[in-house]
Amino acid sequence: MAIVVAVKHAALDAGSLISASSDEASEPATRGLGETDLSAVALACHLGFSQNVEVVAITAGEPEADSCLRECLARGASRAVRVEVSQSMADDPLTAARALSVAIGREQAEAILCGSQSPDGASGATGGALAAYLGIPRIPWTIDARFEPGFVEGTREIKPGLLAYTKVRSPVLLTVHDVKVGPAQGPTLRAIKAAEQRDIQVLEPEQLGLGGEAAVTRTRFLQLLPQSDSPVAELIDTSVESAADRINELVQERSL
Amino acid sequence: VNGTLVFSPGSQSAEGRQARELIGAAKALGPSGPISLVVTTPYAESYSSGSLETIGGPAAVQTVAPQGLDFRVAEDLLVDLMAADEPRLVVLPHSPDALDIAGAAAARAGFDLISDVVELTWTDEVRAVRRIRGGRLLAEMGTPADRGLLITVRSAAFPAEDGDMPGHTRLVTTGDSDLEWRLVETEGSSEATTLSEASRVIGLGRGVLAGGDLPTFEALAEQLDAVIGATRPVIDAGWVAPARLIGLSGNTIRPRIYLAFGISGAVQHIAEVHADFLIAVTDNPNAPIADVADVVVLGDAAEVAVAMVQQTAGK
Repeated sequence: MAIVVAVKHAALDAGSLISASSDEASEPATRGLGETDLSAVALACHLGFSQNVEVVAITAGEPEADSCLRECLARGASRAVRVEVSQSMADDPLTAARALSVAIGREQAEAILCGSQSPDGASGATGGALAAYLGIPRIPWTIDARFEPGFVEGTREIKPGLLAYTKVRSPVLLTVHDVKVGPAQGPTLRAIKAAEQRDIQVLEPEQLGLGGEAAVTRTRFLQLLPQSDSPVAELIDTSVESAADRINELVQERSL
Repeated sequence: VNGTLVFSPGSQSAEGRQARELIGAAKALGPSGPISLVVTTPYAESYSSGSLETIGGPAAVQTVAPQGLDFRVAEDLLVDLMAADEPRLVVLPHSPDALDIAGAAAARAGFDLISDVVELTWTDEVRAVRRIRGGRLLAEMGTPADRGLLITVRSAAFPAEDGDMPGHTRLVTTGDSDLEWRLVETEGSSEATTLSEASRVIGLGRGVLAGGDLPTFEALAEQLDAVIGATRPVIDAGWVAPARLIGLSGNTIRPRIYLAFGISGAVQHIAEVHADFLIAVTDNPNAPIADVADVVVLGDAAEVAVAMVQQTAGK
């Protein structure tokens, strides 16, 4: 039995998005785990620890994506796997989900967790697509989960003040939004150093039978466009009293 | 390949605003051909008795499924429709429930998928302009036109329009027997309604926790006739009830004025803020919220709030 947490080496700022779409000299890329992926890792490691089962962190991407796998290891994952695909393939939710599904299918997992939405594409679609490719049920937007023999129960906040508890026969995929197992703690320096020494299993698409059409990204990221109509904000950089006065003025003006 | 399918899952509004906005998006973005609308809702009676006929059809589908599980019914129905009707374009709302359905349905039906679309160009390749990073950037995407395309569009991104066909209702029930479910009410569900309908909202973010206090912001809210909402760190700190969360897992707000104190502007928060006018008070000029704000006040959020309260009280 294992718990798989699928994560994305996501662009955390516009610089890395630009560098991915341009041949021009690129700004330093800042990629890493998004907030919901961090929640998924926290919940996966919490469940893995309480159930005494292996937690496998998986991503699809280029070698640079190993950094986010090492963060998973530092946060408590047992081992890490990367499916070797281009960044453009990893950025397309359907292509990434297909590649991940084949790798995850080899893991005999009881539960697959992933963040509900990445900070860059924010399509929120990879989890649903991954469950579809794996042919397993899913519980979306969970905030907590627990295991029973043969079942997983996920907690979902379907609107503020209303929780839904859904118990599904495993294996099941959970997309995780926020965790209620406590805030995701940053890894210790000792854990980070230890994770740097760990092996990461790399799977080539050919090993997974991901040749032909499955190896092609259908939806391509072409370019960033200027937002011609994006207004420039009025900047108020003055004393606290003057700022407060101006805000009160604006509130009155805008309420008319 | 036929026309456009507009699919509005989980609509609870008898006025069908979401459905009408999706029709508006379909008319603006879709290829030539008919536009069909399917609404899945636990409240089909309100649609069939009047509003659906004016929205346009052909179908409102009543989902008889536990609240929170109707996505399973909606997804199966959508996949069936995509296979049977072979629409060239499928339009879903860019909402948490629909995003989840979109990924699964596109994978199952063999459609391409682009989310948060604001513009489409139809040639031998479909070119799409989509919002990324919470709308702070636009990206051009391309995908071959030899398959159906599923897109999501954001609330209020397109004008609401009526459809062209008469409506009717049918019932779809969940056949799920592989799961158990139960619902549990927690505190403050009525607070959420107040927040989502408020015309003035004060949002509290992590930046107020260090030097601020809730009574100050409550006093400010009372003076300005505003409602307080918050981001996750403030709720986790116990300042306000979870029902006052603004963001993807909480409330969508549509105020005339949004005063954001100490909020960085994470995608999960900004995605659900549809304010006419946004004033951000932050000590970080590079915070993402500065990209979407109308006014950025550089300063300590707690100190500015105290000064606002004092000035307003003195008038």
